[in-house]
Amino acid sequence: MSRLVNLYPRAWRARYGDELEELATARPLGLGGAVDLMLGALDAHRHPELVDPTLVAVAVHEPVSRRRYEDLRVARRLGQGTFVGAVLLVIAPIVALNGPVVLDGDGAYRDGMAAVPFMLAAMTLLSGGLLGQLIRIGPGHRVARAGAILAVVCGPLWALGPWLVALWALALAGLVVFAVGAWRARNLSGAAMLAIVTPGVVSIAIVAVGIQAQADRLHFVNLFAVAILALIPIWLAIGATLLPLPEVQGDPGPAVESNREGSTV
Amino acid sequence: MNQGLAELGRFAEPTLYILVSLSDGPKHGYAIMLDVEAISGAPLGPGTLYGALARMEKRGLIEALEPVDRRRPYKLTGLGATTLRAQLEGLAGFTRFGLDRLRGASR
Repeated sequence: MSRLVNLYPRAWRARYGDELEELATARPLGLGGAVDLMLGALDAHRHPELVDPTLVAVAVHEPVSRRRYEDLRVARRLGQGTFVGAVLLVIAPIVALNGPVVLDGDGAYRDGMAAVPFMLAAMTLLSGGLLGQLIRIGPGHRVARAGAILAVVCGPLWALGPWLVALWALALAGLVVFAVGAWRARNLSGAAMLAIVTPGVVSIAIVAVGIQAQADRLHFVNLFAVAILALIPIWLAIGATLLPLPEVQGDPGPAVESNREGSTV
Repeated sequence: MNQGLAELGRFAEPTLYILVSLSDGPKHGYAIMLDVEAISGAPLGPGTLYGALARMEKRGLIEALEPVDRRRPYKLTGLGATTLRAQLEGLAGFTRFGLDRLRGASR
């Protein structure tokens, strides 16, 4: 039950996390207490001004060795690349939806192959972000790592053959497993986990509805474009969680500034 | 309930209970929760408790003390005590007024 505390924003957890966890473990919360904690987390996200945001820099990021700091800087660059991937992810469906309509023996379809390079680049940059996440979470965390690796492999492969919907679903499943695994290991905030899981589930649901309704090929491309656009928060969450940098042991200089800059997720 | 607490919305009532709870000395979150339950007869959830504590701290009604293990005690500030007194006097006046009317009606 104390895991629900992870749903609170970082600054809140930095200030009240220990006390809330203590309270949540002191005695069983029950369903009412759990719902109250979730509503409290929602309220905390609506009112971040109630807690000093600079607390995150002090409490969440303990000083690390110079070597670890350099690794995290690499992860941060990969996270910045993921933001570029998010832009490409917006461009790809637009290009696909403006492709020529082609007629073949099975009827009309829209040729969206011109979008493949954009999609491939977007997925590759997301894979880079996931590799950054593997650096960030460190060794162990087998579930989260397995999910990330599944997404790293399946994402770009799917972008090369967008008609292989199973690969796309596997990549999303990997992302969901990574997000939940990292959240359970307290390596990802509740908000970031939801920003990854919710679009993944919504996107799969949109495509499932299209398949169930046996949409024709022309309409299916439109539906798939919407499903792709719904995924944008995943790129943003993967990138944003890689931005904060800790201080270096014995060298508190510019890292603090970078840290505050990226302390919103 | 005066304007000061009314602006806290759904946290106004828990805030009043917490002020009463802290009026006899500093307490940490769990002790406040148990005390409020004893005073009000209704459970106070952790989300509501810390939502109220954050607002009270921001408004200077309470002050956090140094933590003992993972438990951080809170104490009432001068402003908190003044606010509590005003609240209770307002409620006492309201109670007297209501009882007077009730007596008048039953004559």
